[in-house]
Amino acid sequence: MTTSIAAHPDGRMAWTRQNLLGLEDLSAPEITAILDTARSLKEVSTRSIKKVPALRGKVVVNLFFEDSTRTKTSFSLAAQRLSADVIDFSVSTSSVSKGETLRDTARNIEAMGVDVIVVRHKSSGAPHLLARSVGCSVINAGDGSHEHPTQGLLDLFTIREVMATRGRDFGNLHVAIVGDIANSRVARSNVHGLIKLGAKVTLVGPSTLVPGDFRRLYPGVSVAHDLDALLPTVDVVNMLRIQFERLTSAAFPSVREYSRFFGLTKERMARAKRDLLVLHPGPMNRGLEIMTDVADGENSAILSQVANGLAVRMAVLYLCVGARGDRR
Amino acid sequence: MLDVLIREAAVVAERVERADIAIVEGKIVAVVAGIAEQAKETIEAAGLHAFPGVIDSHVHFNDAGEHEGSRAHWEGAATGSAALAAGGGTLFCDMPLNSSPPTLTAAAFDAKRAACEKGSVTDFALWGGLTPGNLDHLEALAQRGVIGFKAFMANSGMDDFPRADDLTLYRGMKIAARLGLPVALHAESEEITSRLAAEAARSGRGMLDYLHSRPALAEIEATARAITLAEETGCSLHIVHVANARSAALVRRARVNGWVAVTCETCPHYLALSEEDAERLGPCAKCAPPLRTLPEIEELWRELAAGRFAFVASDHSPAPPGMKTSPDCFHCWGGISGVQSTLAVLLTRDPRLPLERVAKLTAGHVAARYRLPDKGAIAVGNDADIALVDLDARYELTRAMLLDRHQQSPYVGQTFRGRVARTLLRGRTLFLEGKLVATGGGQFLRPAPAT
Repeated sequence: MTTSIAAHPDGRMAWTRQNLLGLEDLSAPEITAILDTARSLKEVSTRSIKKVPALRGKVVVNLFFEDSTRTKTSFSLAAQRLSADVIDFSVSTSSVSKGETLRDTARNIEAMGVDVIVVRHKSSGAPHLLARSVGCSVINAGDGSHEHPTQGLLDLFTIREVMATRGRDFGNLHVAIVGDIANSRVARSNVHGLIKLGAKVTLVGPSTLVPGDFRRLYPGVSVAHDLDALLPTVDVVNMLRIQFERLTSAAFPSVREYSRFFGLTKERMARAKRDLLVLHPGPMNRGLEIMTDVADGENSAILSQVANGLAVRMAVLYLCVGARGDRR
Repeated sequence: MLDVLIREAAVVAERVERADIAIVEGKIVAVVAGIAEQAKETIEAAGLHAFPGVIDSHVHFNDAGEHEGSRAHWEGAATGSAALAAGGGTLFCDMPLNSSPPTLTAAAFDAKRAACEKGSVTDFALWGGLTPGNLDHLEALAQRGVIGFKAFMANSGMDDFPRADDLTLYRGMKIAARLGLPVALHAESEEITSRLAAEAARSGRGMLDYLHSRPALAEIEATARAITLAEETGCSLHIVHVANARSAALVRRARVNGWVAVTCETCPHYLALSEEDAERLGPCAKCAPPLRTLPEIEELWRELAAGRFAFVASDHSPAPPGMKTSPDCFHCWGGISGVQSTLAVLLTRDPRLPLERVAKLTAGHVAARYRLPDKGAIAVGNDADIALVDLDARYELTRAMLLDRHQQSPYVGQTFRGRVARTLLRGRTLFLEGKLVATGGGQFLRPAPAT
């Protein structure tokens, strides 16, 4: 297996980081290195024995200050397939009192001889703080409304994989990200990654969730409030999960109105290109931002995203540990 | 054992249905026909309609306590809230200006909250102001619990509350968006109104001259500009006291096509009074934007029936009567004192508006828009804020019936349908058969958190 990874020397050379904190920091070759490595690791999951000894003897800790079954499971499985030992370190959110505790907790964990800390935290920038406090690798599994780099990477991976079969690359793709852009770490990581790889990106939603001045925040990105008008020009649509509480608290717009204007329905799909690729980071609110017949339809790559998430997280673990230069 | 049981009222909720309302510790615990449980106080309400207590989202009670220069001889929370209760109201949202000091800082907020807690018989919420000088105070005002920020695009008439120029508005809206609070705007073009007023100064100073210095165009132009800024900043926007149908249509279009979070309100006086009334009544009918023509009023009712206005608010804006006597209509105080009559105006224009709609326009939509917890509807779990109304009764409004301090209502002499028999706040009767029967007890309400 190690030879199969080493078969991508460009990727190996491009990657020198021991941490993955966000896609904003990465260069296009670094992102490509992860995607290439993930492509070679994806094959592991198809074998009868779904395991390679790449990280044997290494210890990966999931340090989750926010509940997340999917992401945590995906990281655990990714580490296990690389033969690492995995420990879940659950922290009750109520007992967390910001910086000091976070740093102390991490140092305590590190003192037990840990190689990688996978961290999710409700505060933006928490993984960065952690990375400055410990010597082991730190991987951001979602920090506040800042970034969720592995979700961004798995979306990029899925887009690239599907589009490669059509002979297309990011340079001639138009991707729409629809929903609560203002509060979404998934959107942020996606935007950074897509722009770096050369895609055209349009952010879509009501102005409370997608203010017009996002055009300035992300140079080169377009903003639109009319999904119907935009849809015919789009190759990929990434439907973000809508958080009910954010909409209902604003009262206007209401959840019902949101769904009427921005929900991906079969009728709305009739306006889109026939081979439109539909993504959703999950968990879905079926019937709200995406209708069941679309989520389960032929344009949807939502289940591939889950499988690809595993490969991408294997690649990130593998590369970050490797960059520390002490892989056995 | 219940505290209060209201029996056999026609309850105006999603539908109008005959039911009993059970109240314990100020909360509605049941709305259903045939409640058998005993109560300490039983109110027989057969023949009466139970509306949710009116929430007036836009009043100027001007109460900042008693101190040097505090305008303590202006309305005040005690009389203002009494008049509100007499009109079936249980909650007001006080505007930041006309009180002295205006609500531009946390300290001014604290003074107003204390004054209202002392004087008000109804519950209340407070607006903060957004002016060129106080952008640094918006966050502190949000922490204090304002429901949003009020700004003027045209001259407010108060030196201590300067209008927000476009850049101030843009910056203020960015802050408001971050704080998750709406900005409420007086949307009239300063350029158009000030130039027309200056031109009018050379011709005449009567009521009609004043009216024509503030055309609908001034509203429409400012509304369009405000919508642009809201789109840019992601701010939730509310246009107050809209007096013409085209502004409402603009708001509607922005909401549907541009997907800007923008709503608007109109006022009872724009629905009930015309230019002719303004001429007849004189300064007591002066307001900005001004009263409009009968065809424009017809259009407003059509917009209201079509759901283009989120709600109706009184913009009760009184001043001592001495400020309303100048023969120069540009000089005398602008502001209509109508807090007691919002429900009356809407109920009298039957049958255009279904009662369920009236309840939304006077309570439900206000509570939803400003995230006022447990308010706005007769529903289990909500505060027992209820107006019992005799819809068969017609009455002529006389000055003696008015409970506000200066009693300058332009509706005096008009005949209305729907007499308020009783008003309850959190189960406690405030107003009964023409008389205020409670003092004090009003509580401050902060909006529910945004997330």
